[in-house]
Amino acid sequence: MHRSDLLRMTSVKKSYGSLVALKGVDFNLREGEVMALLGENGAGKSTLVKLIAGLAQPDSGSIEIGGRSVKLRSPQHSLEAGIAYVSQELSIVPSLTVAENICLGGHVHGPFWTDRRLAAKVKPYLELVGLGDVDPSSFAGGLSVAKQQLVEIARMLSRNAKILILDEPTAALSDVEIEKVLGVVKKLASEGRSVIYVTHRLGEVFEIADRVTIFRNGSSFDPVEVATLDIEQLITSMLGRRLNEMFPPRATELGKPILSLRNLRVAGMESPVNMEVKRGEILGFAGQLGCGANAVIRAIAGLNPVLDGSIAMDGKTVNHRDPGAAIELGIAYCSDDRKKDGIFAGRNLVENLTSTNLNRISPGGVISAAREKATAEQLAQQFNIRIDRLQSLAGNLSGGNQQKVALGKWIGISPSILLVEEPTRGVDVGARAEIYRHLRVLTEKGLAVIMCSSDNQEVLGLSDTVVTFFRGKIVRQCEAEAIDLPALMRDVTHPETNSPGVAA
Amino acid sequence: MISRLLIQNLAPIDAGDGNTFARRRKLSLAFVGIGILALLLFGGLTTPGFLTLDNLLVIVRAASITGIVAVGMSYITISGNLFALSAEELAVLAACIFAYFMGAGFDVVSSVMITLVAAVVFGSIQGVVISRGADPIITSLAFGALFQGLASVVSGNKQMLLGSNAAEWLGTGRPLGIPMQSWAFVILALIGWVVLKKTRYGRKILLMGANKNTAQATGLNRTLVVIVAMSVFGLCCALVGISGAAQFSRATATMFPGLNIDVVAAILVGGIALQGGRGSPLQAAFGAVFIALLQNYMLLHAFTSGQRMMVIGALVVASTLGYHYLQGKR
Amino acid sequence: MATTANSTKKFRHRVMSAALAAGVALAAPALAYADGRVVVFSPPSTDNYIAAWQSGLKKKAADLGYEASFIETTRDQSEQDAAVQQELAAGADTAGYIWWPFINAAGTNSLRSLSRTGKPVIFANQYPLEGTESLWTAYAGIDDFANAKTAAEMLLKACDESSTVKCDKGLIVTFPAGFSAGADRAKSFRETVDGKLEVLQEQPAGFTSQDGYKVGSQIIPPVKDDVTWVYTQNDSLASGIVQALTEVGKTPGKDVLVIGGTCHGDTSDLTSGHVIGTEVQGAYLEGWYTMQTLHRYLKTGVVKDGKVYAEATPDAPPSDEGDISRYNFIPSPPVGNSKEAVEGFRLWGWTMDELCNY
Repeated sequence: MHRSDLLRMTSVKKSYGSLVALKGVDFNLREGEVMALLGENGAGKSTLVKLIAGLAQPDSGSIEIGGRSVKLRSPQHSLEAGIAYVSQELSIVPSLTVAENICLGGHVHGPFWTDRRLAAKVKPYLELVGLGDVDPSSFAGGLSVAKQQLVEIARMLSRNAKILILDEPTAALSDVEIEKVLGVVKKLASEGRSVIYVTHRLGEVFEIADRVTIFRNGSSFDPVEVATLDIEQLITSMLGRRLNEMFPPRATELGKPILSLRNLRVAGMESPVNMEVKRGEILGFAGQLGCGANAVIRAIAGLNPVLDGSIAMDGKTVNHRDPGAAIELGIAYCSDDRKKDGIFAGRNLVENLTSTNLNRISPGGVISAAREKATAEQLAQQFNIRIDRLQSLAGNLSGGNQQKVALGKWIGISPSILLVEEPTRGVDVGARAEIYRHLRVLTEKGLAVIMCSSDNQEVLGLSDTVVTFFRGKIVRQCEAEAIDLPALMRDVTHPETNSPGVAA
Repeated sequence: MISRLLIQNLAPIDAGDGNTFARRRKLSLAFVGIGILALLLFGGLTTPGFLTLDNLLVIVRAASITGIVAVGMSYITISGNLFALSAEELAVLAACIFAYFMGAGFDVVSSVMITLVAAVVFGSIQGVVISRGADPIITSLAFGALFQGLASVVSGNKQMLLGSNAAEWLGTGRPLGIPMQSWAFVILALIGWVVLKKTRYGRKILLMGANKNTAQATGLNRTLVVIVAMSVFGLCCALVGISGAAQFSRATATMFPGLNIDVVAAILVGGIALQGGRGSPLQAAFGAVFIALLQNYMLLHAFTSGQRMMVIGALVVASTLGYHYLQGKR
Repeated sequence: MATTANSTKKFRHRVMSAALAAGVALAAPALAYADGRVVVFSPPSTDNYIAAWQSGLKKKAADLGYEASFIETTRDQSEQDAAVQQELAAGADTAGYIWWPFINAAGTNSLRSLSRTGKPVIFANQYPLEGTESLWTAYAGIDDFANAKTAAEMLLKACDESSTVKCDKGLIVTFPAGFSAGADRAKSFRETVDGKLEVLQEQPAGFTSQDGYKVGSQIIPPVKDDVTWVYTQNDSLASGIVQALTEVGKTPGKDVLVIGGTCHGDTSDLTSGHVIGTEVQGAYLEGWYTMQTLHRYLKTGVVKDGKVYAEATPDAPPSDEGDISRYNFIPSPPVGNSKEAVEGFRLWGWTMDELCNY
């Protein structure tokens, strides 16, 4: 029954500096199949895809196409080998017509062309992707995102691609649109093309994939036939076993409620939000990109406007409108992009750590060197930052230490609520445990933490209370003890297949 | 557009290896100082009368006009707002306002105060616009045209005579044998340095320049920082305008040609990073002195003006590239 | 289809009119003037010399029954070229053009366009380039060579008469580099003093007192024991030099003779004797005379070959009648450094204050 392997990769290794992205991976793709790639962020699937697309070169290992060894040195090489890559970020040029977009950089036309000739040339490709009704001379910018996605696929097809790589093509699409794209993918496979389909949505895997390759920590598992798989199995394979010791013990008792959201409506959430956070509690939001968790956090931080409902602190409605007001209220916010707005990369740690608290270190407007030093050293000790590194620039630290600085700077103002997005993004395992511990120590002193993360294990392991989000809706709100990882995973990726009775 | 180009060309620094980075930073601070010393030594060995106290005073005096404005401008650059290209026009306007009130019979102190207040207002208006997110270069160019026009209207495109020599000492006085402008220059540079390094406001400028987003996320008030920086700049322009008008007891709308470019050159030669968050007013001051030193050397050796322009242009290019390298970008 | 074409045309027409209304202000009332409209191209009047030049021209035009339309352009020659094209496209009735180019050589094409209209073109202020003779009717304005020659002669005379200084070495401080009048004057000055005085250094400075001081304060100290005279190209530069000399302990007028080439509003350096003399080169007068030249040509239609210098009579201005020449120069009479000389000065009925205060 085995169809022949179209693409085969053997013992492929790839490192970026000291970070090992692929530790000797095997991979194969058959003719006419849809192969799904699954794995957590950073597991290695994007790296693999980049190697196939010619966007990066492996350090060692071999790639064969149709039984012949190849070197894919550039995207151009890959295209010539029949491989087309549709990235997550669309490369559609909105100001060009559909036909022009399809022919962009290609060889569909000779040196001279007219709109009409161009339209005639691209028509078959549009039909292939189910866009037969789209006028080739309309502007691409006027199409929906899904249709743009399909135009992009049509563009790749126009290059006679035998292998199509789709990197999370449905991440930004609505349900109806997803159906459309998935339909096209199935059709293309049935016509003999091979598709590598990278996704986070488990449901899609069952819907369209023939086989699935799971990635974890830079290694790949042998491909599995989807027909023989169930969703529990899939999740277990994806996550493997993790060190539960990484997380500090949960809170033994919680204090009084400090913040409550009542019927809060914000852009990005489809339904009103009701929740409460207590002193000493870590409230964890789990969900994928665009699920609405960040929208809630940013509303509390004063960055997203409150459309309706209320934010109350200690029982009083505050509904503050800007970050400055939030800070006044004792609400500190660390975004998911610390380089952008969490640290001052070009200044030293002393200045970083005291930046939130200039008034304290400069009585009468003049900076007191003694106070500055004392404040910085106190925070550094609390966060386990080496005192002798206080004079180095924040930009020169490791990700973990930067995150400690980004968090630590807030502690100086003794906030009552700390909002953290992706507390350990880009932080190595050792520093992660340390950051979890620091957060727990802070809550033991009465601080409330609200964090959101796309790392489900982190949410589950660290939080006292878990809230799961899916596409602008809260799926469930419960004590962390009351939910296990597979259930949480389902909530954030695929709540429809959930067993009944869990929706909050 | 211009600013975007500048930013792209001097894009954020890749952190790289910590130690070399820190070392390079210190080096960049010393760079202009070394340049000045080298030029002094070279000039002294090759030019009679170059290394005399008198000539050094002359050089500092020649650097003063550019230097005073460059010190004011340094806060704008360090706060991450590149340049205000309205220095020339604001100085001209201040000179005309000063001459107007002197000519109308006001006493020196009142005229000075009125002019300073007006310049601070003009500076801070630009600050308000820039703090709303407008591009500082475009904004200041537009305001520069406005100021130039206003100066033309105030002066009626004629020379404005001060009517009396009461203010002359402001432009020609030499307390302890040192010209007023040089005193103002040195004192302002020192005050500017102390304020930047030792006060809360100075720290805000540095943090704002180092990372605007983080600064705002930590609750620093960008509007206030920019407005104060622009007001200081306005004040410095006014001092230059007043001393210029007082020196010859007259003002015209064509004074201070090329001041904008001279000031930018001083900032660049001084090595203040265009992306903000680093540098000090002293560097701007040293930049101005370095250029004046070189100009003086060339004047004494009777370089033609073409040669002089070429050398100064080459110096600006070389220092821009040099600092770029020193700041660790290949 | 027809309506579309029509409305497009209308639209174009409207755009055109708007452009004209903006570019050629005051075109409409031209017909109200008996002798028509004169179009004047010049750099911007934010420069005080040009402002005074324009006001002299405007006054004379009004006296003679013309309306002067000023088309000022800022920044560069291309903008001025665009203004010329707009003016010509407007097709308004024009008696003649006055052309003060931004950059002489670069403006030649626009000059050609103006000459093709068949209307007289009076070249103003900037000395016309060789080879462009067929493109303009006459030149009216200053003669930089004569101006500098006069200055040199005044200096030589003062040197002879001085009992306190023996003229020998000296400095020339000029208008900024690239400004052709400055180079012309320096050349003419050097030719006149050749063999009598030694030039230590010639440095471009600018136009203002600050510019004069900035250069003077640096080049004077090393040569302060040698320098006996300084030629500056206007009195603003001269006052900067006077200050720089004072600062090195010299008494201008006694130890060092300073001559200013062009008068300006402040006569205090003259009356105090710091500057030995200057020349009255009135911007107002130059504009006035340029307009008169155009008018005379329009009356007679004759241009005589050669150069003519208008006479520097104290009271009577030159006649509005008679043929013009190819080159028509205004006088720049010298003024000595006494209160009487300054106060008693008259040229064509104007006082020194009236002519120099701009």
